[in-house]
Amino acid sequence: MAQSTDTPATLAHLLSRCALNDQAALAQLYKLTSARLMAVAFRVLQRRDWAEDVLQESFVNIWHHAQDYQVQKAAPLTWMTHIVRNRALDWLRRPQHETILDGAEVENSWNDPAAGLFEQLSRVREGATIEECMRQIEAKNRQAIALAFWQGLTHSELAQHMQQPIGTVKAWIRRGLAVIRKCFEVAHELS
Amino acid sequence: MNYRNPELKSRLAAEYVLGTLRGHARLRFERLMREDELLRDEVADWQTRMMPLADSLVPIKPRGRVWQDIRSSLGFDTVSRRSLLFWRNLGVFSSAAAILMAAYISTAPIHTSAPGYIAVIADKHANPVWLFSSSDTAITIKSLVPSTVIAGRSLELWLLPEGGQPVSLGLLPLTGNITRLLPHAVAKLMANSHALAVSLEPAGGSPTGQPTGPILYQAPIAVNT
Repeated sequence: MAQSTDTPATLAHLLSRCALNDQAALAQLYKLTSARLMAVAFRVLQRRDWAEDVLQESFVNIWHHAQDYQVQKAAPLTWMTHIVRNRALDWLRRPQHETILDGAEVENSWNDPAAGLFEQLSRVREGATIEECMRQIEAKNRQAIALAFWQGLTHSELAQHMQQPIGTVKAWIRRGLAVIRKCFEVAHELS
Repeated sequence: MNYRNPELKSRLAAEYVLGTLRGHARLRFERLMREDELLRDEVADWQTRMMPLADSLVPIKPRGRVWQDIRSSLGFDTVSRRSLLFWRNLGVFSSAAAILMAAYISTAPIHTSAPGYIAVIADKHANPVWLFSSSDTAITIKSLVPSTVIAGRSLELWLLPEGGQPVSLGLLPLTGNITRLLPHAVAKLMANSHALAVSLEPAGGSPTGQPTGPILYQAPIAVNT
């Protein structure tokens, strides 16, 4: 069976083969997704060697938990991205690994024209995308959400980092998430 | 808190996925999730919404050893009959290998990672404006004072390799920090470069891959030991 594309159906099939101990399926899954998942780990950790260690741990995890994957709950790449991000954030929380970045850098990833172009080229998707919804959020709220998502900062760490009272930061996050929810709901109604 | 309130459920699920739900609240939420299918669905919805934040990242190919390490930690490389034969024959070759190895060690260069570099980009009054630093895999640019640039323009940073064309290191941040992955080919050029330059370009950077606007700043590069 030729499986050279990374469509959700292909990836889901490969995960189901992994659950049956098919080593070749894991090899193919790695080939199709490792560069994208590596980017997720690098985004959080900002170091190639750490990102590679996290990627390795994640694929071991994916192999062991392939039977837990439920196709009706999440797209395969969503599930795998979730695993890699969690691993990377756990890694970051180990005291010797902290590399907290400035919020401006995180926010810039939405303004970077190269990233936007890549996104346009690599993806055609129906309905709302998270990038579109993120752009509807006020800059401060967006920055707080991005810092929490990519750097795993807590409310109090965010407050300290953004030099704001904790209540303000909490409200920013809440407002930002409400905008995202609304944005997806509207897109859902329109489609 | 009333967890039956659907609005609240969605909010907590969002903060759970985002990672800002912590401590006891997180544990309590996880306990509720085990019993509540709708709550699990809500979490799945939020994961589906948020995880595509990763879609706009530029893919990075991991090095070959990563897959080898995955294979060996999963025990995929089990000892086969063929490898038994290998071990039997090994004795014959081992003396020869030892001699070759000795020869290799005495001639091989000592492999260390590339040094980092730093540069301070200053204005015409010698006030530092940006701090540039690099490792062998990434560059970081820190804006020391907020800068402004005329509408529709961007500031682009260039590496000036000895006797070669300028190589773009991307746009300069007007505030805050930026960290970017350094392609291996550019990292190699770093050792052969003595200066950085900043040019004024159309918004988003030079359309040609070479500086098109005036050079506003230049800065020498120093090895960061």
